[in-house]
Amino acid sequence: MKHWLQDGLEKTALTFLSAVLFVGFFQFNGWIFSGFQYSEGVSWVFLPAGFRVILVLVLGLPGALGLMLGSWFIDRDLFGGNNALLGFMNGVAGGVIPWLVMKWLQKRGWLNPQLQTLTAPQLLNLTLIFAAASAIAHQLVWLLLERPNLNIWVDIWPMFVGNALGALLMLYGFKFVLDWVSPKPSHDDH
Amino acid sequence: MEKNHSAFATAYLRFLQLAKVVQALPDGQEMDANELALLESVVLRWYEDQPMTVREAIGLAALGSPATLHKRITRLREKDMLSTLNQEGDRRAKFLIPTQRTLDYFQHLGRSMQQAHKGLAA
Repeated sequence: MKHWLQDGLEKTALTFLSAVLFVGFFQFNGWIFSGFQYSEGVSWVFLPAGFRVILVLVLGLPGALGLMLGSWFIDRDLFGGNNALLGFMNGVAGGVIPWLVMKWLQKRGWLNPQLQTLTAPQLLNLTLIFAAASAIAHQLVWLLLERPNLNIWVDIWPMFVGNALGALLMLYGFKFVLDWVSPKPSHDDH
Repeated sequence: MEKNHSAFATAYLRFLQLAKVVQALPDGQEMDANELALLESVVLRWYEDQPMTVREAIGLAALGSPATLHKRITRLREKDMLSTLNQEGDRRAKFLIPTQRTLDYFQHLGRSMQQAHKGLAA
């Protein structure tokens, strides 16, 4: 198979994987944390934000495009009415903005593209940066497109907290699983 | 470098890097330098088949006052780095012994030292 074709197929597969994971965890989040919902589409705990960090860092652009596709799928009802632009921009804010933030950090030399120099404190900082960037981008989109009943100075906080808490829950869940499945060293020496 | 790898391989290698970082996330079980110094003293004595009693440990004046050392022992026990053992026939003497977690920790340090040594030699 020609290299460019194989590369294209692999990136398409990764994009769809990213979209499926995001949509799946969006549904799961709505089911498990329905009591934490602040307003439509905003929850005090938003687990898919964890996938924003993981998928954008690991998959790069295909991960970001998958997040955007996933967001469009979730907002598919908006595309049928006169809110198509809102649905479109929600996807851009949720997927492309984190990727742009990552690219900016890479350009400044703060983040290695292959994550070789990434440390745990940096990952925690990145989680907060992505949570803030996504919350600001969504609120700005909603403000510009005049979403009803919006108070950006108040609504931005639940979204930021939800993104940050959800992402931390996901990352620590991932850590718990890794600690659990990692082979323990033997003690034959003593 | 990236051009040599397929998209799947690049994603997998980045995933491995991220997994390593995620495993290093702080979980409140880290030891500070003072706790580590006390743990090393206790484990050394255990390694020499002369486990230290709690009374001996709180008497290590070079590491702090008895009250401070007692708190440190409590914290190390809460972090599952130390456990106590009573000698048969003498319930008063309480010996401090390392836990499995401590043995894992020192084994990890030993392996890291070996790897670093190999890296320097190469």
